[in-house]
Parts: sequence; structure tokens; C-alpha cells
Amino acid sequence: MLMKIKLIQIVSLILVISQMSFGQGGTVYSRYGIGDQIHSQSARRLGFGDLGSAVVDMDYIDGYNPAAWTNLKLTRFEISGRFIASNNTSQNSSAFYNKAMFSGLTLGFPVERDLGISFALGLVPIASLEYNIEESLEDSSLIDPHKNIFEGSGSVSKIFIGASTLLPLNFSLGAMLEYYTGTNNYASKQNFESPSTFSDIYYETRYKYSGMGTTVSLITGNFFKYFDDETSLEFRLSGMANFASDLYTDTSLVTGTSIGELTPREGEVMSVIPTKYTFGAVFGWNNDFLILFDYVFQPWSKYTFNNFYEQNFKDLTKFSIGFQYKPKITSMHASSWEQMSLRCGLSLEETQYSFQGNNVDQYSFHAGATFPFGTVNLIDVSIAVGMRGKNENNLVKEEFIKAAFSLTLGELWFRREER
Amino acid sequence: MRISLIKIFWIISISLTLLISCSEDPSSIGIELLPEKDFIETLTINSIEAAFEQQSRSYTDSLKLNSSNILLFGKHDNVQSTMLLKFLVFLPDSIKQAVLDETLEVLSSQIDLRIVYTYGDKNNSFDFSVNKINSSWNSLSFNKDSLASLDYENIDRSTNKVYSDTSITFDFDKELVRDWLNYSVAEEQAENNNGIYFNYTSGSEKILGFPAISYPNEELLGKLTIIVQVPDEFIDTIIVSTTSDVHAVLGDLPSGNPENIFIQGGIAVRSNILIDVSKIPDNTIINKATLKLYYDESESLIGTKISDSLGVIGLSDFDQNEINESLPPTLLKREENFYSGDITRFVQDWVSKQENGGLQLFLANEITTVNKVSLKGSTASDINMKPYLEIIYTIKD
Repeated sequence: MLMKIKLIQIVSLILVISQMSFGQGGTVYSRYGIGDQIHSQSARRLGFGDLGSAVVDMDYIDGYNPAAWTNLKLTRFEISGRFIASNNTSQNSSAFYNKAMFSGLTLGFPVERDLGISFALGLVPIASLEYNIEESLEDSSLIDPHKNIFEGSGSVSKIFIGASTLLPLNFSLGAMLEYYTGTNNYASKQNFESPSTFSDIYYETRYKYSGMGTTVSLITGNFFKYFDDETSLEFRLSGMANFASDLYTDTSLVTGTSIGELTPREGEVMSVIPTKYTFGAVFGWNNDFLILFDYVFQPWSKYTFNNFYEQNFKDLTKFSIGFQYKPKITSMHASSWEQMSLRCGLSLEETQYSFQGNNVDQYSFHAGATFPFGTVNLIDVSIAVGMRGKNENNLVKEEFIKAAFSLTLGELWFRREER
Repeated sequence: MRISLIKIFWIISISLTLLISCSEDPSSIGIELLPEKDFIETLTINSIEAAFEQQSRSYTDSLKLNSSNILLFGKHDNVQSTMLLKFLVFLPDSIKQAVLDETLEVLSSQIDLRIVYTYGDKNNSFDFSVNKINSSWNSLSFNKDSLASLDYENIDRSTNKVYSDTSITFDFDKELVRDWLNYSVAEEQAENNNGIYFNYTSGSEKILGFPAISYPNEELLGKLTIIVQVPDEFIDTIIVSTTSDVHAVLGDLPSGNPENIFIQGGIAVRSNILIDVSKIPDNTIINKATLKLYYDESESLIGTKISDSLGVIGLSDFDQNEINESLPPTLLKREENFYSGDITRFVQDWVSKQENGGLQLFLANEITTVNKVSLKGSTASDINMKPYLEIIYTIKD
């Protein structure tokens, strides 16, 4: 019953937050492909460098790595949101933008704890599109003063259902079946200053994506435990592959004219999203501390849209290193501060964007904390400060702050009655 | 640590709202990185430089005049119009009884018509007859085709006509008025009053316009003034305004310079224009399309109500005059020696659907005037005098 009430509250929260999920401005880089990649969705992962693929944790459920669910003890519900503020500078000017977005909703529950069998389902965004560029044209000889506005908005998300299980040697295996869906809109508008005898017009290209994909992941057992069952040391490796199948892409060109909105062109093409590979390692000691390392590779140079390669894409690589302090609670009366987890990380990403040989790289520093409340519930907050690109060669330099918030609720479901 | 969800929600909401409100307006940052295909370009094209193919023609069309607030009557040039009026009499009880007792005498009856429109020189001759109608008619359905079946006496019931620039007054047959008074008091006989038919005489050379029932100023409606008496008792004046009216216009297509097209009210003459815009690329957005038509004053004739606007409506078939009802009509306004106006919606429709049935031009006040407007058509020898279309449009790859 308590869970139901919480769920109602959470759904209400989602609805309100989803109303806020629009931003103002953004970066032009997301114009290409399906948008900026969202590597992970939860505040916890953002706190230690956006990844953390080798971490097995009983307290969280997210749509990142299904192999990490094998230690799930309670039914978990997790919802996340993000806020991104960015100061964008070019060679001549700068502007400040920000946006808030819903970044994930996941429900997972253990089915057979001893075997590490858990199921989860959820909805998480995987790519985000947001930019808004204006140029004022005051001296056109043909038409009244106006602004040409170029806008992009949309996102691609995946709805997933997945399971995990333990293998011999305490390996964790997980897999997710994913359905990708989303719409990206690219508008070119001509807005006239009032008063004008001209009416505003626009062209809008709409891509509606749909398709299936899978994620398969493996996390090794704790290597130290193979030699010493009592050790407080931990070392695991992980590997994860995200196979996005070809996405059906319904395309339409919409025009806003004096006789209303017209759709002069429609069609269906394929978008081929390259497979994403993630490899990670985690080293822990004293049951309190973890050091994480992750590497992501996704060959975006192989991305095609309607059988055409994107000229401004190259392969994406991302490295992150993180640290987590999570105190082992031994007292029933530990204070909230004593239960609080802390984490931080560094991340270097060679993004998929490259314009005329000028790569767009991203560097960021991450920090985060977990605040337990109730008995098993958690609030995670994290922040990432970094920069992407540079303000030369017509590129845009973004100095950004990302903040994330996750709420993780837990409750015991499917308790076996003793006879 | 007990933190309610409501508190968390409000903290997040307020924080985000404050932060989001900090955003600056969009700027041009990053415009160099946009793909070429996102950019839009605004261009112009016109019917002279691009040598748009075009055609035009004039024809007489059907027109319902029943809602006109002016009754047209007379003959001039290629147009003739006749009118029907009905004066239904409603009497006070005192007079009603006198009619029933057959003690009421009609001393005089006079009809007064106010002139609000003149087509042709005011000094032109004008004369007419007023005939009793024997058959019933309905002002909502009567049209020029109904004239042939209209049954009316060939006896002029009018005398002592007095003409001025602003009115026509004449004495009206007292016997007929007496009949109308009788009909008004007898049960179910009011419909026997079929009104009167105004027919111009052959020497008439102008058309006059009188206020119809729907005219905004009721004071100017046609009036029948009847002076009655009951001997040794009273003399009274009964004023009856028009209770039903309609006019029917007949005419021929104007003749003149074959290069010209004509638009005329009443009969009604309309013109179709088709300008081929297929040279405009697909998926184009029309910012503005302006049509300009040159006015030939030498072949135009405008009455005392000017026609400074032409109506424009889209056609789905140029030859069959089929109206494209998906787009609302628009107007071309008179400016110096041409009519011009914005036809952006029509051109957008032609370009988007790749179907162009052309435009129909009609006089904006065609049901209240018989004004004749002559315009240079598509066959004008001077290319600069042909219908001119200028289009500003925007394209994107």
C-alpha cells in the first residue's frame, strides 16, 4: 500500500517534471545524428564519471547495465532528472543557456536472490536534441526585417525490459531487450518583426525513430574472493555491448505557410546506430571505498542515415575514472550523515563530432552524494562541471554544469511465506 | 532524515524555475556549424522577367441579387434592370372598420423613391411604367429567369412623375390602392396583393438605384403615402414602406478592346485569370504574392457608387469556372491606374498542390451596382500592361 502511494506521488512528480522538460537554447552539436549521447541516466552514475559499468550494487536499479542487477535485494523504483546549464562561446560572442529534462524511470525486482535473478523495466533517454540559433536580418531588400531561427528539439529514448542472473564463478550476466522511440524536429523559421505585412513561415523536418535493440553485459566475480573468501578487497571487470538495430525513421518535411501547415514530403528511411561497447573495472577495499575505471567506444563513423554517412562524425571514445566512498553501516542508529555516500570522478570524452578535422572533446569533473531516507530509500544528487569543444575554427566552446537528481525507493515484494 | 516528497518536489521546482529563467535569448552562436540544408533563402520572381504563361477571359455568370440592399432599375449601355415592389398595408382598427363599412375614400396615393445610385449620366433620359402584378412572386427566389413567367397588366398605374437627382415621386393608381386596402382587412386575402412591376421605357438611358429592404437606413425605403377620409368623420394619412422587393438585371457581355477583360456588377460579368507559376520550385513557401491588374478607364463606366475593390476567388477549373472553396476570397484594391492585392494564399496553394485553376475576378459590390470595370488582359500587346504577378518566396534544400 505504501508503495502504491509512493508510486502515485512519483507519477505526479513525473508529470510535473515532464512539463518542465523543455530547455532554452542548447548546443548546435546535437544537430547531427540522433543528438547528444546520454551515457547514463542516474545521478549516482553522473557522480562518478557518468559510467561505472563494473559496479554491482544492491541499492539501485537503472537502465544502464543489466548485469549490475544480480545483487538486488528489494523491489526498486528509480526516477531521475537532470539540469544542464551551459555558457557557450564562439569566437565573437557568448550566451548562457540551460534546460531541465526527465532522465529516466526504472522499476526492478529480484525474483530469485540466491541466483541473482532479477527483472527490470523502464524508460530512459539515450539521446537529446536541443539548440536554438537566431540571426537577425534587418537590411533585406526583398522582405521586412526578420529573424532566421534554427531550432532543434527532441529526444530518443528506449523502453527496456531486462533480466540478470548469476553465473558460475559469481559472474553476473544481464541482458535487456530495448525498443527505441523518439522524435527529433529540426526547424528553420523566418519570424518577422511586428508590424509587418509578412507572415511568419517555417520549414520543419521531423524524424520519428522506432526500432529494437539489445544490451548484453557481463560483470566478473570479485577476483580477490577466488583466493580469499574473507577479503575486504574487491576487483571486478565488466564488458557491455549495446546493439541498436537499424532504426526505422519516418521522415516528413512540414511547411508553415499562409494556407496552414503542409506536409509536402514524407518517407521512411533507416538510421543505423553503431554498436556501443563499454569496458570497465572496479577496485574496492575495506568494503567502503571503490575506484572505478571505464572505457566506451562507439564507432559513430559508421552511423548512416538513409544510407549516407555523416561527414561530421568520427568514432566516440570516453574514459572515466571515479571514486566512491560508501560507508558500511554497522549500527542501527547511524545518523543520516554517517550513512551518506560520497563519490567523485573525472571524464574525458572524444565525442563523435568532428568538423573539418576539428574534434570536439569533452572534459568534466564529477561529484555526487547519496542521502538515505526512510529505511531503504535514497536520494542521489550529483554535479558535473566541464567543457566541450573550443571557441576556434568556428566551433563552439561549452562550459557546462550538469546537475542530476535521482530518487530511489525500495520495498520488499514477492516475499515467500514460511510454512 | 525525514524528507517528504512534496518538499523535495518544491525545492526542485523552484530551483529549476529560477535557473531556467536565467537563460539568455537565442543567439547566432554555432550558426557556422549548421548543415547547409538547414538554411533558407528568400528570392523573388515576377511574371515579366520569368515570362509566366498566362491567359484570361471574361464571361457572364449567375448572380443572386435577392440580398442586395439596392434595387437597380433602368437601362444603360449593355445592361437593363427591372424591379418589383410590394406594399402590404396594415391598418389601424379605426380605418379597418371604415374599409369594412365601405365608407373609406382614398383621396390620393403617391409613391416616393429615393435615389442612392445612378449609372450613366444623370442628365440622361429616364422613364418607366408601373404595372400591377397578377402572379405571386417571392423576393428570395425571384431572378432574371423568373421574369418570363411574371404575369403583369400592361397598364401604367403611375401619373405625374416628378424626377430630381435624389428622388422620384409619382401619383399611384387609387383604385389599386383601394384594392390593397380591401385585401388588408379581408381574411386570407392579403396574398392577393402581388405588388407592382417597374419597367423602364425604351428611351431610358440610365440605371437608378433605390434602397431595398435590407438598406441600413430605413428612412430611405420606398414609401407609399395614402390619404384617406371617411366623409364627415376624419381625414388620415397612411404611410406604407416597401415590404418586399427584388430586381432582375439582364445584359450582354460588354464589347470593346479585345485585349481587355471586363468585370461588371448586376448581370454579372466576371473574368478568369490563369498565371502559370510552375517555374517556382517544389516545397517553396510563398512569403508574398502580389497581383496587379491595369485599369482601362476608357472602357470602364462607374456609377455614383465607386468600385474600388475587386473580389478574387480561387478556381479549380479555369474553363468551367469551378470555384475552389478551400480558400477564402480576397480583394484587389484600386490604386491610381491599377488594382492590386495580396494573393499569397492562392499562389501557395498552386505551388503546393501543383494544381492551378486560376482566379476569378468579380466586382466587390456586384450585387448593388452595375459598374463596369475594364482591365488589360493576358493578350495585351504591351507586356507591361498584362496582369502582373510578383512573388517573394523562400526555399530550403
